[in-house]
Amino acid sequence: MVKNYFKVAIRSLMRNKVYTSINIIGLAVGIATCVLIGLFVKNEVSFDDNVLNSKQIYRLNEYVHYDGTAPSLSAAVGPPIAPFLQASHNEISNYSRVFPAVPFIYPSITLEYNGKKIKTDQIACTDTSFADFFNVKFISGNKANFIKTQNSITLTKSLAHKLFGNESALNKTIVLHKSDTSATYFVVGSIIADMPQNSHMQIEGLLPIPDEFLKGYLGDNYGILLGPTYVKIADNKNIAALEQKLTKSIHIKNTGIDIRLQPLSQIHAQSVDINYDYYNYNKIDGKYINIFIIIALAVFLIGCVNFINLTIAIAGYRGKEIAIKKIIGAKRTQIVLQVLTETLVSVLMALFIAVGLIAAFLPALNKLVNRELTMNTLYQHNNLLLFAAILVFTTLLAGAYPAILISSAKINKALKSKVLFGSSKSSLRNVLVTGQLVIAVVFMISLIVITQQLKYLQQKDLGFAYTQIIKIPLDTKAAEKLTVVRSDLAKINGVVDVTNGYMELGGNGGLYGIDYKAPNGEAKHISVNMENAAPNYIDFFKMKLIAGETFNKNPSNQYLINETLAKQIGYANPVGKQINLSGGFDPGVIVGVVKDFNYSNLHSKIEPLIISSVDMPVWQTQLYIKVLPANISGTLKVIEQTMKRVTDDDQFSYEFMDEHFKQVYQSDQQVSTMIAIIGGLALFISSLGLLSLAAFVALRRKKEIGVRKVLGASVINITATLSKEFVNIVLIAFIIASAIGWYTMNMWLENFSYRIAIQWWMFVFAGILSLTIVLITISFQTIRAALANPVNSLKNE
Amino acid sequence: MIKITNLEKFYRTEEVETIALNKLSMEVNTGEFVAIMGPSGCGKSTLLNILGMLDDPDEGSYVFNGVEIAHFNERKRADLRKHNIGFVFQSFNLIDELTVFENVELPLIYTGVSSSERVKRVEEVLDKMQIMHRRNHYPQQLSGGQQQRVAIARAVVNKPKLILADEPTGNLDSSNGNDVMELLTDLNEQGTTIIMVTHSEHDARYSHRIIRLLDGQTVMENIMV
Repeated sequence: MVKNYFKVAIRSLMRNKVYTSINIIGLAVGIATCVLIGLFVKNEVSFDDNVLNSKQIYRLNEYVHYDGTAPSLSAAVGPPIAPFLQASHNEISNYSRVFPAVPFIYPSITLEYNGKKIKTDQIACTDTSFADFFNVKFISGNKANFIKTQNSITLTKSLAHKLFGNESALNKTIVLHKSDTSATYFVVGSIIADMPQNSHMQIEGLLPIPDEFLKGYLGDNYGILLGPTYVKIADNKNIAALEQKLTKSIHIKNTGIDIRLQPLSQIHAQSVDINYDYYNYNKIDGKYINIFIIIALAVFLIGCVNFINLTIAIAGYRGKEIAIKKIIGAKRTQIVLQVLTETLVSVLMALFIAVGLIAAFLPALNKLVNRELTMNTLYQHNNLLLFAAILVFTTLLAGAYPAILISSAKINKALKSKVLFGSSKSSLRNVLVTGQLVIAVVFMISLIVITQQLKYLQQKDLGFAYTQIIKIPLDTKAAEKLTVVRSDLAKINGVVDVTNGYMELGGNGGLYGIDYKAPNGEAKHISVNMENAAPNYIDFFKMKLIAGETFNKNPSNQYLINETLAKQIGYANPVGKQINLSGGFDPGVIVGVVKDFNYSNLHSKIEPLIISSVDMPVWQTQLYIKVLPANISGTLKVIEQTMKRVTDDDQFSYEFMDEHFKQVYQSDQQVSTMIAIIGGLALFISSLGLLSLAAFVALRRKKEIGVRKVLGASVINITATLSKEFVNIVLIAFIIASAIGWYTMNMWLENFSYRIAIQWWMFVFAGILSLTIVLITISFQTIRAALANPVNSLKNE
Repeated sequence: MIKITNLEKFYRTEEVETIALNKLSMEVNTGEFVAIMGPSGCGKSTLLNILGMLDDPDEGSYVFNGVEIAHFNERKRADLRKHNIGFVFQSFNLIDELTVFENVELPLIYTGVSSSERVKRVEEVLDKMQIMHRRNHYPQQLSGGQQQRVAIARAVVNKPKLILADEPTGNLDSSNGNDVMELLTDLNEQGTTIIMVTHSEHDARYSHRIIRLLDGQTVMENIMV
């Protein structure tokens, strides 16, 4: 019996080769898309789950709310906070601080072994508990030797390989250059495996936190935002209460910060609003994960709906076969099983094709989302079960309705007529096709809106000019020679101007405390973003002054503030008022107010900013060079030579600022690319469904077409008549899709502080485009039907 | 074997009601060979469909082997049908995707006969119909006469008590037609009851009795000598 089911199934699939292929391809594309997105989503939600007791590990974040500043959440906290809190709270059984070694602890780090030098800023200073917190795998050496002494360093396998080649690195002594004047010997105490790609913590090497640093001004500072700190909390039932307790304690030391505990599992996908999020390079907006899950299911559903439509359409031709089987004794369940078997065989084939598609497109996906997803996980025990589940589920989803419908056919009717189902049954098919189209049109509308928004972001006037500007990071060593660097670079042919700054334009600013007197005479101390700039900075970036003037020749106690800060301070004309940076700086004065410019990115609003112009190497970390467009590569070469010569450093890296701003919106760009691809696929599968529906309509109306032609209708008349049904479907789909698209896109746009308004033409464009695609698709069938000789169609009836 | 009393069947469209069977009564005994004749639209096919349990009557009684089945639901009718009735059609109605052997085997599969038994019985009946040499061919590779033999083989493989034939020679030339009628006569002589709808007086002469219908009613019965 079962054998017979399969035999008949395969033969009847073979008989309708074209439809079977369309059917299976549609389903395979649906499954492949779904699995690819599934792999990505699974990877994203699996971040940091390889850590032992991961549920007990929390990142200690700070909610920073100094007077007069916009409060913000920071992942970086001060060094003494964790030890202080652990001492007074039993709930915290252990902590691990992970501070970027550069630039606060060491001005820069270059590792040297046997004359080979590697400069890296991916080294962290941490506590020995790091090994347990992040489940570090030792390749050589062991946990007992992990950054055991002040002069012990741990390297990841890839950094060890870079420095030592194939030579064993364990217990070798290397030189660590902190600047060009000072160096220390370190012993490689252990080599660890690279951090797994699904760990948010990405580092190349680890050092102990120097004791003398912890005793210094920064090391004993509760307010500084130095780096992340992780705590282990075994009894984690009431985290909210613990947060309150910890906050109460920390207020003894600093009233401007509240403690927040973020579960390890949430760091990767729920940290978009968190600032100073060091090491968490590949973080993703968790909202996108949900969107992707919805998209994956939508495409899968489209594939299944397609399958249902096609199966029913084909079944229309199978009246005779079904009737005969019933007459000679097939029970209804046997017909149902027969149809389900056919579906099962189709789905099985679709699955195999899908696996091929997945293998083919995984590298492209990896490139797109910047991950290292592999197919290996697909072949694991659990996932084979998952495939079996997909097989059964898809078979039932796609096969149940056709099976019930086909098996319910009345013998008499089925035997007599070639077409098994009349127009009454086609209404459900219309609903299904409409549903498919709705999804496809929503994709289309989304794509138009997203593209427009990204275009807007890239073209929006940020309030300063950044084209033709090269950005070069400066370490302290280079910054110490800044005067020479700048004058030598300015002499180069093709270089227009040179300036320098501290904050990363297009990234995070640095918070710093300022003191001033409010208009009512009250002394104020607040934290604001701070930029430390060369005197020509404002002119260089073509920023506008709305009051006062820019720095003059001797600017060390002069300050510029932005419009937002000016409003916050509260004077009608703040120029000439006293202000100064906290921490031992001489009192200064506001010399000018800069028109607000977007120094971060367009996701966030402009916040208060103070610009100082202090000649201090640690605050001169960015070098900007404006170049002429002609012969840029030649100019770059000379710049590189000059930099290497003046700073005596063989490393040179640069970035064009406009490229940098493109990268700021990279994750938005990724989403838009993915939606474009998936939307295209959705449209493709939907078109297959339409093609079959058109074929079915043409068959159903064959006699009518024949009669119309005999009565003198032209091919165009007939095509128009047949197309009308589809125009209605598109119209209904368009109306529903517009509502959904408008709602979802408004939600997406809320992520941006600066956003476009959704406009009517975006919908019209999507509508016209989808109508065109639909009409072209069905024209393959309608024109053929219209061209057919009416004599044949009438004779057959 | 069959007793129908005051059987009625209507076909309704939106505005017109057509009477297909009008208080029709008849009896067929086990072992009989009955031919049903009449002009197009007289209700022959409707009657055959009801007799074959493919359709149910609107009014009246249908007793099959002593059981009243007029009110049976589709599942019960199907069950009764597959064990008792074989069908032969004018247009053969073989399944194109299955070979000769598989077409004949199908009813046995549906009644749950074991695989080895199926092979035995199918070979037996193909042998009897003299189309054993065509067992692996597909219907479209056969002549009309051969196709009808396969259809008859399929109808009898389950050893039904009743064979319903709807113009079994209608698509055949006279020589092939005669062969088919001989086959049916043989089956009848071995004890199978046969009811056949036909337009052909020639074919009807093979039967024991001719029932002539007009407008859904019996107008005449001829007993053949």
